[in-house]
Amino acid sequence: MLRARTFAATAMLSFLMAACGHHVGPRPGQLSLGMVTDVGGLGDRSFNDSAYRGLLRARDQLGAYVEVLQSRSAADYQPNIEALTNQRVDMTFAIGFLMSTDLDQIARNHPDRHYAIIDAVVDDPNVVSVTFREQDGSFLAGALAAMMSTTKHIAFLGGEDVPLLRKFEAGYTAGAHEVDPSVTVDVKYVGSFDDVAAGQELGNVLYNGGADIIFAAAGTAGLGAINAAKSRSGAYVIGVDSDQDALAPGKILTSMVKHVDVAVFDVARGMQQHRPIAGHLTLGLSDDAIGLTNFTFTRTAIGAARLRRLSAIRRAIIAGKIVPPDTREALAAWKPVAL
Amino acid sequence: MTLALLVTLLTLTVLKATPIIFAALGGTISERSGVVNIGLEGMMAAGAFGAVYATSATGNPVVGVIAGILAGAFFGFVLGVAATRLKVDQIVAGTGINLLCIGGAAYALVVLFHQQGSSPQVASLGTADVWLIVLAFALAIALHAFLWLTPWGLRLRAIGENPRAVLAAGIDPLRVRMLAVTISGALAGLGGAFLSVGELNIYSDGMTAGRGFIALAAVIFGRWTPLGATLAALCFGFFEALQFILQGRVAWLPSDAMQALPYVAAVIALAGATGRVRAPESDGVPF
Amino acid sequence: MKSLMDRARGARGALGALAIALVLITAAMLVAGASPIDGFAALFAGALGGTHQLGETLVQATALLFPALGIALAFRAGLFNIGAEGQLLVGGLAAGALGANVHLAPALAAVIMLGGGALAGGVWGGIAGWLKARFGANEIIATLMLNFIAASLTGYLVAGPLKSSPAGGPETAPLAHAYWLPVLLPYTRLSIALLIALAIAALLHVVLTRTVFGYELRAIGEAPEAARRAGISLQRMALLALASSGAIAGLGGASIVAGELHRFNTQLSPGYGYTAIAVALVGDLDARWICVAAFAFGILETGGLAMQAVANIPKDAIHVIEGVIVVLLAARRYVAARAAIAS
Repeated sequence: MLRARTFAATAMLSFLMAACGHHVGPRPGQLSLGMVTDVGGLGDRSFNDSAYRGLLRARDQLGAYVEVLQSRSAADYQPNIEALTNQRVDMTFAIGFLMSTDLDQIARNHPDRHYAIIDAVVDDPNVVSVTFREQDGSFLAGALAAMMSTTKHIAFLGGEDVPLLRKFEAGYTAGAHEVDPSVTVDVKYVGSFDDVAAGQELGNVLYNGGADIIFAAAGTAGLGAINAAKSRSGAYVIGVDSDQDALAPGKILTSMVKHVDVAVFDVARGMQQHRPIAGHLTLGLSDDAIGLTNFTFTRTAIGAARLRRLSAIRRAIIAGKIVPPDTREALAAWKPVAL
Repeated sequence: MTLALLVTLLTLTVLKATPIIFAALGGTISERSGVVNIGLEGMMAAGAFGAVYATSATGNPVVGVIAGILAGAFFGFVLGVAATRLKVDQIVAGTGINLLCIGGAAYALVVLFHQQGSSPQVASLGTADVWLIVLAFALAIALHAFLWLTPWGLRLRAIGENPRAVLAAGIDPLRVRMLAVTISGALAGLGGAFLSVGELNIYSDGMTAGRGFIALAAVIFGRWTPLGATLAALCFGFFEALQFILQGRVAWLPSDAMQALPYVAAVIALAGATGRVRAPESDGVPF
Repeated sequence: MKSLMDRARGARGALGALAIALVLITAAMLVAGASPIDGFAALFAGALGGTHQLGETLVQATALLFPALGIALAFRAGLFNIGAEGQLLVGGLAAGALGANVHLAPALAAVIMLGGGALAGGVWGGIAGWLKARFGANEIIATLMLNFIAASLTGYLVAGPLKSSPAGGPETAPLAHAYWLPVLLPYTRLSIALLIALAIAALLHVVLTRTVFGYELRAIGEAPEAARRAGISLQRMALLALASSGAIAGLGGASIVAGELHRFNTQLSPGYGYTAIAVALVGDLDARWICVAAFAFGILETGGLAMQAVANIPKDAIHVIEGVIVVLLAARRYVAARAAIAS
């Protein structure tokens, strides 16, 4: 009993001491940036981590004070954004389309504060909406896969079957058909962004089904598909979001990189230069926010001819000659464009 | 259906079933001794993480598998002590262990690997994981034989039915239960290690993805016998494999319905189990 | 009537748990290389440092209080309802679907949503109760399996039939502003759901201590054989206990939808139904102490979220602490029992 009381007393003491501790916060005049992750949280080696890199770059290059709040459930989004708002950070980044409803409400209640949201459009004068033309980068990935496939059979592996992932799926399929309309594109979804084993198993199912290249847009579960490619000769996989090429050198054809970090940093820089960006930013190939990696390990395997054709396609997308579809409906109506 | 597709379906069934078989065998032996092991999911996560950590430290995935077994056994032992010596309610302790293991692995990733979310890639058993698959089926047969053909198996089952009678025969039921739950944890840990360094080469948060709970369902669906639980695990593995293969081919089949299938099957088995086969009499009852 | 001794035990339980949690958090911060002073400053400021923070803490406490009360009701009847998570989900879905599709006077709509949520949770708990009563099925396994079925079912419904819009996430359409539960604390999202939860707590306390139903519930929990001989139907009580337990959890899910989220989303709960088991146990299965315990856990949950930014502790580490608390508290009963024998 005595021991229990000492235990409680020590705990209480440290608690009280803590209560008198110093509060950390931005210095006067320092740019302060807040970020709310979605339920994937930091460490997803993908979306949230990429946004965090942009924030850290703002800290290092712009001298900004940064604060990150992670969300455990959808119910955490609103309080997290509110908390940063109440700390009067100069700009709060909401990372993920699921936060759009909550951000819209908060932004209307605080017209004097600035916000940014990634992957969704929130129509308020004090919100910057950043979306990416994932279909453009995926289109290039599909085109490359179709050129490289020896079986004329490629595949797409998504995490969860949600509209955002269908942008990848539609762009990839159209890109393949741009190169060769006879290429077969198998499509499967893991049903989770976490289940690495299922990612690997589905990767094997797709390879066994005849596909020799898989575009794995499945978060952590995609690491399983990369594993599946490793043990097969003649098989490639395409990574996603971050540059994953070094995870399996030579086996990862390229990664379809989505530079959330670039977007976060650019918006932060705008804030610092007292010209906050508002409205809707759609970032794509020409902004270097979306694109393929520079083929460090696969350049020779791909060859100069294919790379030339790929950059022709890239220029055609930027010029608006090719408009990659971003939904299954748009894909069904889409026709290859003669270049 | 082509022959190649059939082969894929069957190999995938076995692959999906193997970690569930290990955990379900653990669940069976534990429940036969009278302790419901709700903590299987957490023990699998502990095994998966332990295996990756030991493999990363030694470079040898076999050491990793052993570490995974030990990690699972440790938490099985904790549950065993809690449920027998400390008379803590089994369900409460098992729930606590799930929270502890899954949260603990996430925390340990930060402390030991200095990164959140997932571990770096480590060495893996590669194709040698087939031996673990063989082991799963061998263990199922061995455990079945042990429970029904040996005097110790009879005693274990008797403890699950009526521990007092066994005590009268001069055996300490608590000690046997503690041992059974520890073995249960070891098997769940082995299932986790199979996932992380057998089939894969990584630990990532949430990678057990409810397999421990499916194993719990397999125990019931398999009517508290090792071969029954194995068959149930194969059944669940088959439906998941089927879902993987049919996806994109059959549009009307919602994947959520497929995912719910093992649990619905378990609930139906619970309802259908009356009169014919039932849970051990003292399953879940402290002694 | 509980003795003074029992009350003291309840108070010690909640305080002891809080103390253990604080020590564990300190250790976790030290191991992760963070300063406990800064960490606790963040925890304290994040949970209680202002109106907004207090409001958030009470929102978390409310979300835990409903399922914890439901769990306590079932536990007192000797039934392990670990299905509060699933009951909460179906309750939330029912409220979200009703709110998005009915067009009524706001007050009536709120009643329909909360009532629908309670009904859905009650049915979900009732399924396990019926399996228990009709087939003697183990309610632990049944309620656990029903959690997963609830997750799949609600996931399927909001991805398909009840989806808000073709482009939206897995959620129902947002509720009309008029349907939101009134805000209790200005400038926070704390709604009158807190008052409803406290009313349920008071009601549960009265029912358990002052009514025949409550007496019968405790009787089947404490001495089932004697209860049966006294003419209480164990089957009927099991069904009623699990159904009402589920109804309270379902009401909790509905109040999250009507009070704070204003739509149903599959990621509505970070595991409230599981954490609530710990809350119910910390509160000694006594409605009054459960209110205190829910507040303490609200501090931990809200402050923990603020703390992670400062102390580099992953959000899941809070689960380790909760897990240890659960096991320790369960062991505490044994220690207390042995001390009683020794004296």
